[in-house]
Amino acid sequence: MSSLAEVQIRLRHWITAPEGVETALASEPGGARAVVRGDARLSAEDRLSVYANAYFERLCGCLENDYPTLRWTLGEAWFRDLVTSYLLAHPPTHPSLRWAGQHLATFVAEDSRGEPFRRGRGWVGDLARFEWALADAFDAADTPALERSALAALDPDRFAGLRFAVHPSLRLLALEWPIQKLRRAWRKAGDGERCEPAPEELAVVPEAVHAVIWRADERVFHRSMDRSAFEALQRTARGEPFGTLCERIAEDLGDAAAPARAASWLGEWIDAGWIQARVE
Amino acid sequence: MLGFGVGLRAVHYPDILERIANRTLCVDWFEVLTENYMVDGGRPLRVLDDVRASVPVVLHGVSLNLGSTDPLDDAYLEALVRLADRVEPAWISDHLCWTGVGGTQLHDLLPLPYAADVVVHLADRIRRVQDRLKRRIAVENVSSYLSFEADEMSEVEFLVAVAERADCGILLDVNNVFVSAHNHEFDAAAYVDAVPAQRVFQIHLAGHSEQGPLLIDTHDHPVRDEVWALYERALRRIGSVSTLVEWDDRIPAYDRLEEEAQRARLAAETTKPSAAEGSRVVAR
Repeated sequence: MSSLAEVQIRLRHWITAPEGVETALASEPGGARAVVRGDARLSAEDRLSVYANAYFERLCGCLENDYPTLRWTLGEAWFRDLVTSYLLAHPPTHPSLRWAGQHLATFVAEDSRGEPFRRGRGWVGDLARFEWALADAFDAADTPALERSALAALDPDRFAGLRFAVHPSLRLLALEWPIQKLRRAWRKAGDGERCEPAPEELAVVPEAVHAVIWRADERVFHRSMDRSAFEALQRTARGEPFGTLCERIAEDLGDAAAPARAASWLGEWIDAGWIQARVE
Repeated sequence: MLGFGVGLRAVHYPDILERIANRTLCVDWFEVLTENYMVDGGRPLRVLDDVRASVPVVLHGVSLNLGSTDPLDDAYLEALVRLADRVEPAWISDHLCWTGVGGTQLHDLLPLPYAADVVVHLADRIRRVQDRLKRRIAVENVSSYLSFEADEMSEVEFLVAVAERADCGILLDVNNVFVSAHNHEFDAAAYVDAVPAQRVFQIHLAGHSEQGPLLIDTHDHPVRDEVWALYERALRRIGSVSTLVEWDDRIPAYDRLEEEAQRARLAAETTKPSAAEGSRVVAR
């Protein structure tokens, strides 16, 4: 199959070339015509272009779906440039388009090739992380949630040693930018129907935000949390026993407040469906 | 023969669940895009389970990558087995194409050179997939916009050779035949006439668009009259066969989609097969 493999590798190269099929082919005169048939209606290069355009447009559309606010804040031209750079660094490797955008947040926040897109827009990495977490929560695994009644049935002497697990859809994001403000501006603009944001809509300043994202009744929700509660929930997600959680809360908020605060938070988390039924 | 169906798409979930509950559904089955349901949980899988509890479902994949020279993707096959165990599809289908190579997924249905060694390669991979899934799959002819210097036979000769060698089913996409016939200037009617009727599990119908001198398989229009005519020709040859209308972009209201499926039903009811139906190759 060496010849078929060679044909496929060459087609992949031409179709994914960031500069377009024609430029990619310019460096190998006659290259396409040795592989692909052209005719009077359309050259081999033009026929390859159909696939090259479809590749980019399909992935661009997929990433627009996953990152609608990022797309709105950057504007169409910049977003398409971002997608071009991103696909060069992270061509899709998963059989499902669902995962095509999985590296975008890291790319735009940390990769040197993502630098032009974060210059003057420090929030793009946080925004991308946030929107990817929304997509992740949507189809995370289903697990029964803990009921308060089940908690009441547990032996109080065992409480300090209990380890709770959080729902698979739960995502905890410590953000450095007020992403929800950008999301609200995008919503207000009619989910991006008004194409370009006004400068004042993007005039956000750094602000520590502790965001929680989760799915309930098949819908994805998010809200900000108090820092202490967020860190306690993070520890719970890591599997720390409830007793250790109480000790940490005591260090943070004082001995007197800790037990009541821990119990109150646990109750809120259970009511929100954030805690799995399985308790160890 | 499952009857007449449409694709299960997220925008139509509420309409479909309501019609199932009210017993007013006008289609007989749904086809689902396999990869959309290879997820851990949430609404898509719950809706799929609810639909499957009342109506037959077929799994239609786009990323099995049958024609690639990469190894078959074990993780993908494992996920496909799990999904098939969950929904018990009437059959499983994918495309006669390649979708990625060297670990890169192109997320498109790329044509293959129609050559004898490619027939052997493809048929061997289909057989291995069928062994893993413990059933015959159906392979679909794709719309294509280019052909290869290495071609040694026509597309339909290639399709027939692969299907016979792999002993698999065929998902005959009549719109794709029409689109590729236009793009490569072959005779669509002769193509349909050459397909082995006993291997056809299913027919696809869809709309297409024009782009310069080419037709593109965009699934964003109603089925064109010329494609309905080709469908009737296929019905005369194949006899009653499960038929599905695809509509994936600029998706209309669910009622409109059901109208297209009803038109297919009417066409099938008023088209007589030209010969007695022989015994069919089945999924398992």
